[in-house]
Amino acid sequence: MRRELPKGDLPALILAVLGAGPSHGYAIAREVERLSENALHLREGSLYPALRVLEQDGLIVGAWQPQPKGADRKVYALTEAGAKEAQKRTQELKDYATLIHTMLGRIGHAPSA
Amino acid sequence: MHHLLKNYLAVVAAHLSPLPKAQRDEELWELREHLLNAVTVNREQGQSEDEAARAALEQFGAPDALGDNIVWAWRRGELIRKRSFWGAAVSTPAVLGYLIYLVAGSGLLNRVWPSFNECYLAHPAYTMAVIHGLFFLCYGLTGMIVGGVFPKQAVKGLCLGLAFFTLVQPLGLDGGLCWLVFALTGAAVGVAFPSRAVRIVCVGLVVVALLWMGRGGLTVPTQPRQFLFRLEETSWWLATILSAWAVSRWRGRHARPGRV
Repeated sequence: MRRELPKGDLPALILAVLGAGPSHGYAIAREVERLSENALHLREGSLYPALRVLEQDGLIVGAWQPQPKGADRKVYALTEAGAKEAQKRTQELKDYATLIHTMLGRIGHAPSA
Repeated sequence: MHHLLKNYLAVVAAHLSPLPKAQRDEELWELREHLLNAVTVNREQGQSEDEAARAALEQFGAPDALGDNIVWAWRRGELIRKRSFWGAAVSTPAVLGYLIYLVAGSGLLNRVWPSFNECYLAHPAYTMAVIHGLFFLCYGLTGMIVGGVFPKQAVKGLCLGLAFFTLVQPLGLDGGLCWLVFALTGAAVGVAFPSRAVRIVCVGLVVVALLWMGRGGLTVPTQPRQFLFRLEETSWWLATILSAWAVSRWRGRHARPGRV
């Protein structure tokens, strides 16, 4: 089942993808879809405002790079603060996922973790 | 550019009306570049011009939702910039006032330079040159502190704060102006550290009290005039704590633009 990525999880995933190295917006979106084996769909319409907000917070920096063919491409990279925030948010998401799994296990809707 | 992309950009542009023209043009230019990149990638995957344009628009989603997201992000950035500007403007006279007080009024100088009084009598020009050098350092330190806490719009905020300080400085640091400087200090701490402003202010006031004790300033008043002055000093300190508390409460209600 292909579903839209929840808005609240988007910044954490962007930071996690950029943790692997600088990337442009389109590549970030496709990487999220690839890592989820196409289970999650990330629209660029949500992605670029989220990238703007992460730039405002100083967690990423974007730089335009001219391309031999076609339009210039904006490549984003993590700042030092962004790298720390990426670790923090990744851990928060992992803890949250474990908690939900455990709760559902106790209710009896899923095997416990 | 494909006509579908032009139509898409026109709809987004209509939703960006709250933005100033320059900002709107920049956002639309950036969006256009991102769209063209998406089309280029789609064409590299073997799609026709039409298919690539349609796929790119499908990837970007509804233009009105995108426009609303862009406006939201811009408003968030504006709020952060405004708070940083006013934080810098308010904290500049407060930080500068305190640093100059530490140099000139707290007795710290006498502790660090025990022969200050004798040196001033013997070589007034040299001594005043050193004092002015220390004041210059106070200005530099103020810039560093304020710029570090409020990095966005720091220079503009600093300029406004310095202008205010320069206008009121000839009034001298006494009476009502002291009350204002102490209250501004509390407000600045409340803006910068809303969750622990009162604690920081109380620790700062304890440090000031210790410096005053070292100068022999915190003695038990024995005359009515000394008692009234002690009351006035207490009101300055209360003004600092109250303004820190009030601003931190206000910041709590109008929370800093949250993380996305």
